[in-house]
Amino acid sequence: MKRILIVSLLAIFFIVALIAGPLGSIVPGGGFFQSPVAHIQLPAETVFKLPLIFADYSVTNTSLSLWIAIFLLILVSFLGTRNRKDVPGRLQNFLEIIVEFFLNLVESVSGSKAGRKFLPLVMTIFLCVITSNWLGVLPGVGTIGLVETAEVLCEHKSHHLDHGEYNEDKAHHGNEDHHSSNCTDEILEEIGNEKLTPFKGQGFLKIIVPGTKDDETNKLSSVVGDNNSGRLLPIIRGASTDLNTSLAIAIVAMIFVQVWGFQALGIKGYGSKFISFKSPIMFFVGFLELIAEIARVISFTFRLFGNMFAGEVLLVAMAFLIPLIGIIPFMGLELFVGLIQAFIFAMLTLVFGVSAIADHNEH
Amino acid sequence: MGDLVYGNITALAAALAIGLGAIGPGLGIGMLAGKAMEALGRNPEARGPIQQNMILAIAFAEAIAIYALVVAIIIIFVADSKIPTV
Repeated sequence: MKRILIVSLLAIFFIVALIAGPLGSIVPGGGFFQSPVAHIQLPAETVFKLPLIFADYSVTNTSLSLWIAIFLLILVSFLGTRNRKDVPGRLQNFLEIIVEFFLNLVESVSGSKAGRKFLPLVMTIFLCVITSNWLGVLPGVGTIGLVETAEVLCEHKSHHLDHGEYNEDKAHHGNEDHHSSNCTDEILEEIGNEKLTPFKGQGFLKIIVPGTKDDETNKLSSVVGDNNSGRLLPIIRGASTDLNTSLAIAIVAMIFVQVWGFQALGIKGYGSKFISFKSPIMFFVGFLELIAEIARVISFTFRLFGNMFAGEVLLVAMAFLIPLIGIIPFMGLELFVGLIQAFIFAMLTLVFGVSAIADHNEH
Repeated sequence: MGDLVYGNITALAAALAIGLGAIGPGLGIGMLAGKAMEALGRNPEARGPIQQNMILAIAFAEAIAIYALVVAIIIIFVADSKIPTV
Protein backbone atom coordinates (compact mmCIF):
# COMPACT_ATOMS: atom_id res chain seq x y z
CA MET A 1 0.00 0.00 0.00
CA LYS A 2 2.75 2.43 1.00
CA ARG A 3 4.76 1.40 -2.02
CA ILE A 4 1.87 2.04 -4.38
CA LEU A 5 1.43 5.47 -2.81
CA ILE A 6 5.08 6.39 -3.25
CA VAL A 7 5.23 5.13 -6.83
CA SER A 8 2.08 6.97 -7.83
CA LEU A 9 3.32 10.17 -6.21
CA LEU A 10 6.56 9.89 -8.14
CA ALA A 11 4.67 9.22 -11.38
CA ILE A 12 2.48 12.28 -10.84
CA PHE A 13 5.56 14.37 -10.10
CA PHE A 14 7.21 13.13 -13.26
CA ILE A 15 4.20 13.91 -15.43
CA VAL A 16 3.82 17.36 -13.89
CA ALA A 17 7.50 18.06 -14.51
CA LEU A 18 7.13 16.92 -18.12
CA ILE A 19 4.19 19.20 -18.71
CA ALA A 20 5.91 22.08 -16.94
CA GLY A 21 8.84 22.00 -19.27
CA PRO A 22 9.16 23.00 -22.87
CA LEU A 23 7.80 19.63 -24.00
CA GLY A 24 4.49 20.44 -22.41
CA SER A 25 3.93 23.70 -24.20
CA ILE A 26 1.80 21.93 -26.77
CA VAL A 27 -0.69 21.29 -23.98
CA PRO A 28 -2.65 24.49 -23.31
CA GLY A 29 -1.62 25.75 -19.93
CA GLY A 30 1.58 23.75 -19.97
CA GLY A 31 5.12 24.96 -20.17
CA PHE A 32 4.83 27.14 -17.11
CA PHE A 33 8.18 26.21 -15.65
CA GLN A 34 10.36 26.73 -18.66
CA SER A 35 13.68 28.36 -18.15
CA PRO A 36 15.86 29.94 -20.79
CA VAL A 37 18.42 27.67 -22.41
CA ALA A 38 21.81 28.22 -20.87
CA HIS A 39 24.59 29.39 -23.09
CA ILE A 40 27.04 26.60 -23.82
CA GLN A 41 30.57 27.82 -24.03
CA LEU A 42 33.43 25.75 -25.37
CA PRO A 43 36.51 27.70 -24.27
CA ALA A 44 36.82 28.50 -20.59
CA GLU A 45 35.92 32.01 -19.48
CA THR A 46 38.28 34.28 -17.60
CA VAL A 47 37.13 35.14 -14.09
CA PHE A 48 39.85 37.57 -13.15
CA LYS A 49 43.37 38.43 -14.15
CA LEU A 50 46.47 38.31 -12.00
CA PRO A 51 48.93 41.03 -12.92
CA LEU A 52 52.31 39.44 -13.51
CA ILE A 53 55.56 40.85 -14.82
CA PHE A 54 55.10 41.14 -18.54
CA ALA A 55 51.55 39.96 -19.13
CA ASP A 56 48.39 39.34 -17.19
CA TYR A 57 47.71 35.77 -16.25
CA SER A 58 44.02 35.19 -16.83
CA VAL A 59 42.55 32.84 -14.26
CA THR A 60 39.78 30.86 -15.90
CA ASN A 61 36.95 29.18 -14.06
CA THR A 62 38.24 25.74 -14.94
CA SER A 63 41.61 26.75 -13.59
CA LEU A 64 40.00 27.71 -10.28
CA SER A 65 38.22 24.38 -10.18
CA LEU A 66 41.45 22.49 -10.78
CA TRP A 67 43.16 24.40 -7.97
CA ILE A 68 40.31 23.48 -5.66
CA ALA A 69 40.64 19.82 -6.67
CA ILE A 70 44.40 19.88 -6.08
CA PHE A 71 43.93 21.54 -2.71
CA LEU A 72 41.36 18.92 -1.72
CA LEU A 73 43.69 16.07 -2.70
CA ILE A 74 46.62 17.57 -0.81
CA LEU A 75 44.43 18.17 2.24
CA VAL A 76 43.09 14.61 2.29
CA SER A 77 46.54 13.11 1.79
CA PHE A 78 48.05 15.29 4.49
CA LEU A 79 45.35 14.52 7.03
CA GLY A 80 45.45 10.83 6.24
CA THR A 81 49.16 10.35 6.59
CA ARG A 82 49.91 12.60 9.52
CA ASN A 83 50.18 10.17 12.43
CA ARG A 84 50.60 6.84 10.79
CA LYS A 85 49.71 3.94 13.02
CA ASP A 86 50.12 0.25 12.47
CA VAL A 87 46.43 -0.26 13.05
CA PRO A 88 45.14 2.49 10.79
CA GLY A 89 42.41 4.96 11.61
CA ARG A 90 39.53 5.56 9.21
CA LEU A 91 41.04 8.02 6.79
CA GLN A 92 44.35 6.22 6.67
CA ASN A 93 42.49 2.98 6.05
CA PHE A 94 40.59 4.53 3.18
CA LEU A 95 43.76 5.81 1.57
CA GLU A 96 45.40 2.44 2.08
CA ILE A 97 42.53 0.77 0.24
CA ILE A 98 43.10 3.03 -2.76
CA VAL A 99 46.86 2.57 -2.76
CA GLU A 100 46.58 -1.19 -2.36
CA PHE A 101 44.05 -1.47 -5.19
CA PHE A 102 46.32 0.39 -7.53
CA LEU A 103 49.43 -1.43 -6.41
CA ASN A 104 47.80 -4.78 -7.13
CA LEU A 105 46.50 -3.55 -10.46
CA VAL A 106 49.82 -2.12 -11.56
CA GLU A 107 51.80 -5.12 -10.44
CA SER A 108 49.43 -7.52 -12.16
CA VAL A 109 49.87 -5.70 -15.45
CA SER A 110 53.55 -4.95 -15.33
CA GLY A 111 55.33 -7.14 -12.82
CA SER A 112 56.51 -6.06 -9.40
CA LYS A 113 59.76 -4.26 -10.25
CA ALA A 114 58.42 -2.02 -12.99
CA GLY A 115 55.14 -1.76 -11.15
CA ARG A 116 56.69 0.22 -8.34
CA LYS A 117 58.10 2.64 -10.87
CA PHE A 118 54.78 3.15 -12.61
CA LEU A 119 52.61 3.41 -9.53
CA PRO A 120 53.02 7.11 -8.55
CA LEU A 121 52.15 8.58 -11.93
CA VAL A 122 49.30 6.18 -12.61
CA MET A 123 47.70 6.83 -9.25
CA THR A 124 48.20 10.56 -9.49
CA ILE A 125 46.57 10.70 -12.89
CA PHE A 126 43.64 8.68 -11.62
CA LEU A 127 43.11 10.81 -8.50
CA CYS A 128 43.53 14.11 -10.32
CA VAL A 129 41.16 13.19 -13.14
CA ILE A 130 38.51 11.66 -10.92
CA THR A 131 38.51 14.60 -8.51
CA SER A 132 38.19 17.15 -11.27
CA ASN A 133 35.49 15.08 -13.00
CA TRP A 134 33.39 14.66 -9.89
CA LEU A 135 33.80 18.27 -8.82
CA GLY A 136 32.21 19.24 -12.10
CA VAL A 137 28.99 17.45 -11.16
CA LEU A 138 28.51 19.14 -7.79
CA PRO A 139 25.49 21.43 -7.54
CA GLY A 140 26.63 25.01 -7.76
CA VAL A 141 29.47 24.28 -10.12
CA GLY A 142 28.59 25.84 -13.43
CA THR A 143 25.46 27.50 -12.10
CA ILE A 144 26.73 30.15 -9.70
CA GLY A 145 28.64 32.97 -11.22
CA LEU A 146 28.89 36.46 -12.56
CA VAL A 147 26.56 38.12 -15.00
CA GLU A 148 28.04 39.41 -18.23
CA THR A 149 25.77 42.17 -19.43
CA ALA A 150 25.54 43.28 -23.04
CA GLU A 151 28.05 46.07 -22.45
CA VAL A 152 30.67 43.71 -21.09
CA LEU A 153 30.18 41.44 -24.08
CA CYS A 154 30.55 44.38 -26.45
CA GLU A 155 33.76 45.33 -24.68
CA HIS A 156 35.12 41.80 -25.01
CA LYS A 157 34.26 41.81 -28.69
CA SER A 158 35.90 45.18 -29.28
CA HIS A 159 39.05 43.97 -27.58
CA HIS A 160 39.03 40.90 -29.78
CA LEU A 161 38.59 43.00 -32.90
CA ASP A 162 41.17 45.62 -31.98
CA HIS A 163 43.91 43.73 -30.34
CA GLY A 164 43.23 40.05 -30.56
CA GLU A 165 43.84 39.53 -26.85
CA TYR A 166 42.46 40.63 -23.50
CA ASN A 167 45.39 42.31 -21.82
CA GLU A 168 44.66 45.83 -22.98
CA ASP A 169 42.31 46.32 -20.05
CA LYS A 170 44.94 48.20 -18.10
CA ALA A 171 45.52 50.63 -20.94
CA HIS A 172 41.84 51.44 -21.17
CA HIS A 173 41.33 52.32 -17.55
CA GLY A 174 42.30 55.90 -18.20
CA ASN A 175 39.71 56.42 -20.90
CA GLU A 176 36.51 56.02 -18.96
CA ASP A 177 34.48 57.96 -21.48
CA HIS A 178 35.13 55.41 -24.15
CA HIS A 179 33.13 52.76 -22.37
CA SER A 180 29.80 54.28 -23.14
CA SER A 181 30.37 54.03 -26.87
CA ASN A 182 31.72 50.52 -26.84
CA CYS A 183 28.69 48.93 -28.42
CA THR A 184 29.27 50.46 -31.80
CA ASP A 185 27.12 49.53 -34.71
CA GLU A 186 29.67 47.29 -36.33
CA ILE A 187 30.10 45.27 -33.15
CA LEU A 188 26.35 45.00 -32.78
CA GLU A 189 26.15 43.77 -36.34
CA GLU A 190 28.44 40.88 -35.50
CA ILE A 191 27.08 39.80 -32.15
CA GLY A 192 23.76 41.60 -31.97
CA ASN A 193 21.77 38.50 -32.69
CA GLU A 194 23.06 36.56 -29.71
CA LYS A 195 20.45 35.81 -27.15
CA LEU A 196 20.90 36.86 -23.54
CA THR A 197 18.98 35.42 -20.62
CA PRO A 198 16.90 37.71 -18.44
CA PHE A 199 17.75 37.83 -14.75
CA LYS A 200 15.60 39.05 -11.90
CA GLY A 201 16.86 40.78 -8.82
CA GLN A 202 18.70 43.80 -7.62
CA GLY A 203 22.28 44.63 -7.07
CA PHE A 204 24.49 41.68 -6.42
CA LEU A 205 21.94 38.93 -6.19
CA LYS A 206 20.36 38.01 -9.49
CA ILE A 207 18.75 34.74 -10.39
CA ILE A 208 17.26 33.17 -13.45
CA VAL A 209 13.68 32.53 -12.53
CA PRO A 210 12.07 29.46 -14.06
CA GLY A 211 8.88 30.34 -15.78
CA THR A 212 10.41 32.92 -18.05
CA LYS A 213 9.68 31.50 -21.43
CA ASP A 214 12.26 31.01 -24.11
CA ASP A 215 11.05 33.80 -26.33
CA GLU A 216 11.80 36.30 -23.63
CA THR A 217 15.52 35.81 -24.02
CA ASN A 218 16.51 39.09 -25.54
CA LYS A 219 18.67 39.79 -28.49
CA LEU A 220 21.83 41.55 -27.43
CA SER A 221 21.18 44.57 -29.59
CA SER A 222 17.98 45.37 -27.74
CA VAL A 223 19.29 45.18 -24.17
CA VAL A 224 22.42 47.29 -24.30
CA GLY A 225 22.46 49.28 -21.11
CA ASP A 226 20.04 47.00 -19.30
CA ASN A 227 21.67 45.49 -16.27
CA ASN A 228 19.20 42.68 -15.92
CA SER A 229 19.94 40.75 -19.09
CA GLY A 230 23.14 38.97 -19.62
CA ARG A 231 25.06 35.78 -19.90
CA LEU A 232 26.06 33.68 -16.95
CA LEU A 233 29.79 33.31 -16.37
CA PRO A 234 30.21 30.44 -13.89
CA ILE A 235 32.83 31.03 -11.24
CA ILE A 236 33.73 27.35 -11.08
CA ARG A 237 33.36 24.94 -13.94
CA GLY A 238 34.55 21.33 -14.09
CA ALA A 239 38.26 21.32 -14.82
CA SER A 240 38.20 18.50 -17.33
CA THR A 241 35.65 20.30 -19.49
CA ASP A 242 38.56 22.46 -20.55
CA LEU A 243 40.74 21.19 -23.36
CA ASN A 244 43.85 22.57 -21.68
CA THR A 245 43.60 20.37 -18.60
CA SER A 246 43.21 17.24 -20.69
CA LEU A 247 46.07 18.23 -22.94
CA ALA A 248 48.33 18.96 -20.00
CA ILE A 249 47.73 15.61 -18.32
CA ALA A 250 48.10 13.78 -21.65
CA ILE A 251 51.43 15.49 -22.41
CA VAL A 252 52.77 14.67 -18.96
CA ALA A 253 51.70 11.04 -19.31
CA MET A 254 53.36 10.62 -22.71
CA ILE A 255 56.56 12.37 -21.58
CA PHE A 256 56.77 9.93 -18.71
CA VAL A 257 56.21 6.97 -21.03
CA GLN A 258 59.17 8.08 -23.16
CA VAL A 259 61.30 8.63 -20.05
CA TRP A 260 60.49 5.13 -18.79
CA GLY A 261 61.35 3.69 -22.18
CA PHE A 262 64.72 5.42 -22.29
CA GLN A 263 65.45 4.43 -18.71
CA ALA A 264 64.71 0.78 -19.30
CA LEU A 265 66.21 0.22 -22.74
CA GLY A 266 68.82 2.92 -23.12
CA ILE A 267 68.93 5.51 -25.84
CA LYS A 268 69.92 3.10 -28.58
CA GLY A 269 67.53 0.40 -27.50
CA TYR A 270 64.49 2.61 -27.23
CA GLY A 271 65.46 4.76 -30.20
CA SER A 272 65.72 1.72 -32.42
CA LYS A 273 62.00 1.21 -32.01
CA PHE A 274 61.38 4.39 -33.91
CA ILE A 275 64.35 4.82 -36.18
CA SER A 276 65.73 1.54 -37.45
CA PHE A 277 67.82 1.00 -40.52
CA LYS A 278 67.56 -2.75 -40.70
CA SER A 279 65.29 -2.75 -43.70
CA PRO A 280 62.98 -0.30 -45.49
CA ILE A 281 59.93 -1.92 -43.98
CA MET A 282 61.30 -1.62 -40.47
CA PHE A 283 62.12 2.02 -41.15
CA PHE A 284 58.56 2.66 -42.22
CA VAL A 285 57.20 0.79 -39.21
CA GLY A 286 59.37 2.86 -36.92
CA PHE A 287 58.13 6.04 -38.54
CA LEU A 288 54.55 4.93 -38.02
CA GLU A 289 55.33 4.21 -34.38
CA LEU A 290 56.55 7.77 -34.01
CA ILE A 291 53.33 9.12 -35.45
CA ALA A 292 51.35 6.78 -33.22
CA GLU A 293 53.03 8.26 -30.14
CA ILE A 294 51.87 11.72 -31.10
CA ALA A 295 48.42 10.41 -31.97
CA ARG A 296 48.21 8.98 -28.46
CA VAL A 297 48.53 12.45 -26.95
CA ILE A 298 45.67 13.66 -29.11
CA SER A 299 43.61 10.58 -28.39
CA PHE A 300 44.08 10.93 -24.60
CA THR A 301 43.14 14.58 -24.76
CA PHE A 302 40.00 14.22 -26.79
CA ARG A 303 38.79 11.14 -24.98
CA LEU A 304 38.72 12.89 -21.62
CA PHE A 305 37.66 16.29 -22.94
CA GLY A 306 34.97 14.90 -25.23
CA ASN A 307 33.41 12.75 -22.54
CA MET A 308 33.37 15.48 -19.91
CA PHE A 309 32.28 18.33 -22.18
CA ALA A 310 29.56 16.22 -23.77
CA GLY A 311 28.41 15.28 -20.28
CA GLU A 312 28.19 18.93 -19.31
CA VAL A 313 26.21 19.78 -22.44
CA LEU A 314 23.96 16.79 -21.78
CA LEU A 315 23.24 17.97 -18.24
CA VAL A 316 22.37 21.45 -19.48
CA ALA A 317 20.10 20.07 -22.20
CA MET A 318 18.30 17.66 -19.88
CA ALA A 319 17.84 20.32 -17.22
CA PHE A 320 16.21 22.44 -19.87
CA LEU A 321 14.02 19.67 -21.28
CA ILE A 322 12.52 18.20 -18.11
CA PRO A 323 12.73 20.70 -15.27
CA LEU A 324 13.24 19.67 -11.67
CA ILE A 325 13.86 15.97 -12.13
CA GLY A 326 15.11 15.35 -15.64
CA ILE A 327 18.69 15.74 -14.61
CA ILE A 328 18.75 13.06 -11.91
CA PRO A 329 19.56 9.94 -13.97
CA PHE A 330 22.08 11.93 -15.97
CA MET A 331 23.90 12.99 -12.84
CA GLY A 332 24.30 9.31 -12.09
CA LEU A 333 25.59 8.74 -15.62
CA GLU A 334 28.04 11.61 -15.21
CA LEU A 335 29.42 10.16 -11.99
CA PHE A 336 29.87 6.78 -13.64
CA VAL A 337 31.46 8.22 -16.77
CA GLY A 338 33.80 10.36 -14.67
CA LEU A 339 35.01 7.30 -12.78
CA ILE A 340 35.45 5.23 -15.93
CA GLN A 341 37.32 7.96 -17.79
CA ALA A 342 39.72 8.46 -14.90
CA PHE A 343 40.32 4.72 -14.70
CA ILE A 344 40.85 4.48 -18.45
CA PHE A 345 43.33 7.36 -18.49
CA ALA A 346 45.38 5.74 -15.75
CA MET A 347 45.18 2.24 -17.25
CA LEU A 348 46.16 3.42 -20.73
CA THR A 349 49.17 5.26 -19.33
CA LEU A 350 50.15 2.05 -17.58
CA VAL A 351 49.66 -0.07 -20.70
CA PHE A 352 51.73 2.31 -22.83
CA GLY A 353 54.41 2.32 -20.18
CA VAL A 354 54.54 -1.48 -20.17
CA SER A 355 54.76 -1.62 -23.94
CA ALA A 356 57.49 1.03 -23.90
CA ILE A 357 59.78 -0.94 -21.62
CA ALA A 358 59.14 -4.23 -23.36
CA ASP A 359 62.23 -5.41 -25.12
CA HIS A 360 61.35 -6.48 -28.64
CA ASN A 361 64.64 -8.19 -29.35
CA GLU A 362 64.07 -10.97 -26.90
CA HIS A 363 62.10 -13.55 -28.81
CA MET B 1 17.18 28.47 -52.23
CA GLY B 2 20.86 29.37 -52.11
CA ASP B 3 20.37 31.24 -48.84
CA LEU B 4 18.55 28.32 -47.32
CA VAL B 5 21.30 25.87 -48.15
CA TYR B 6 24.08 28.04 -46.78
CA GLY B 7 22.13 28.97 -43.71
CA ASN B 8 21.41 25.45 -42.60
CA ILE B 9 24.45 23.59 -43.75
CA THR B 10 26.14 23.80 -40.38
CA ALA B 11 23.30 21.93 -38.77
CA LEU B 12 23.44 19.29 -41.49
CA ALA B 13 27.20 19.04 -41.18
CA ALA B 14 27.10 18.60 -37.42
CA ALA B 15 24.34 16.03 -37.60
CA LEU B 16 26.15 14.02 -40.27
CA ALA B 17 29.43 14.22 -38.37
CA ILE B 18 28.12 12.67 -35.22
CA GLY B 19 25.56 10.44 -36.89
CA LEU B 20 27.91 8.68 -39.24
CA GLY B 21 30.72 8.82 -36.77
CA ALA B 22 28.84 6.85 -34.16
CA ILE B 23 28.05 3.87 -36.39
CA GLY B 24 31.50 2.33 -36.30
CA PRO B 25 32.18 2.58 -32.59
CA GLY B 26 28.68 1.37 -31.81
CA LEU B 27 29.23 -1.80 -33.80
CA GLY B 28 32.73 -2.17 -32.43
CA ILE B 29 31.72 -1.91 -28.81
CA GLY B 30 28.88 -4.33 -29.37
CA MET B 31 31.22 -6.91 -30.85
CA LEU B 32 33.73 -6.36 -28.06
CA ALA B 33 31.19 -6.85 -25.35
CA GLY B 34 29.80 -9.91 -27.09
CA LYS B 35 33.17 -11.59 -27.25
CA ALA B 36 33.84 -10.68 -23.65
CA MET B 37 30.57 -12.28 -22.59
CA GLU B 38 31.50 -15.38 -24.53
CA ALA B 39 34.88 -15.57 -22.85
CA LEU B 40 33.27 -14.99 -19.47
CA GLY B 41 30.82 -17.79 -20.11
CA ARG B 42 33.59 -20.17 -21.00
CA ASN B 43 35.80 -19.29 -18.06
CA PRO B 44 33.97 -17.56 -15.24
CA GLU B 45 37.05 -17.69 -13.01
CA ALA B 46 38.96 -15.22 -15.20
CA ARG B 47 36.38 -12.55 -14.54
CA GLY B 48 38.75 -9.86 -13.25
CA PRO B 49 41.18 -9.72 -16.17
CA ILE B 50 38.44 -10.17 -18.76
CA GLN B 51 36.43 -7.30 -17.33
CA GLN B 52 39.40 -4.96 -17.05
CA ASN B 53 40.67 -5.64 -20.54
CA MET B 54 37.18 -5.29 -21.94
CA ILE B 55 36.79 -1.85 -20.38
CA LEU B 56 40.18 -0.84 -21.76
CA ALA B 57 39.30 -1.93 -25.29
CA ILE B 58 35.89 -0.26 -25.08
CA ALA B 59 37.65 3.00 -24.20
CA PHE B 60 39.72 2.75 -27.37
CA ALA B 61 36.64 2.16 -29.51
CA GLU B 62 34.63 4.87 -27.82
CA ALA B 63 37.34 7.45 -28.36
CA ILE B 64 36.55 7.41 -32.08
CA ALA B 65 32.94 8.33 -31.38
CA ILE B 66 34.18 11.08 -29.10
CA TYR B 67 36.34 12.49 -31.90
CA ALA B 68 33.22 12.67 -34.10
CA LEU B 69 31.29 14.36 -31.29
CA VAL B 70 34.02 16.95 -30.80
CA VAL B 71 34.00 17.74 -34.52
CA ALA B 72 30.23 18.20 -34.40
CA ILE B 73 30.48 20.46 -31.36
CA ILE B 74 33.19 22.53 -32.99
CA ILE B 75 31.09 22.91 -36.13
CA ILE B 76 28.15 24.22 -34.17
CA PHE B 77 29.83 26.45 -31.65
CA VAL B 78 32.93 27.72 -33.36
CA ALA B 79 32.50 27.48 -37.09
CA ASP B 80 28.93 28.68 -37.17
CA SER B 81 29.78 32.32 -37.51
CA LYS B 82 32.64 31.78 -39.89
CA ILE B 83 30.73 30.23 -42.78
CA PRO B 84 29.96 32.96 -45.32
CA THR B 85 26.41 33.51 -46.38
CA VAL B 86 25.64 34.04 -50.04
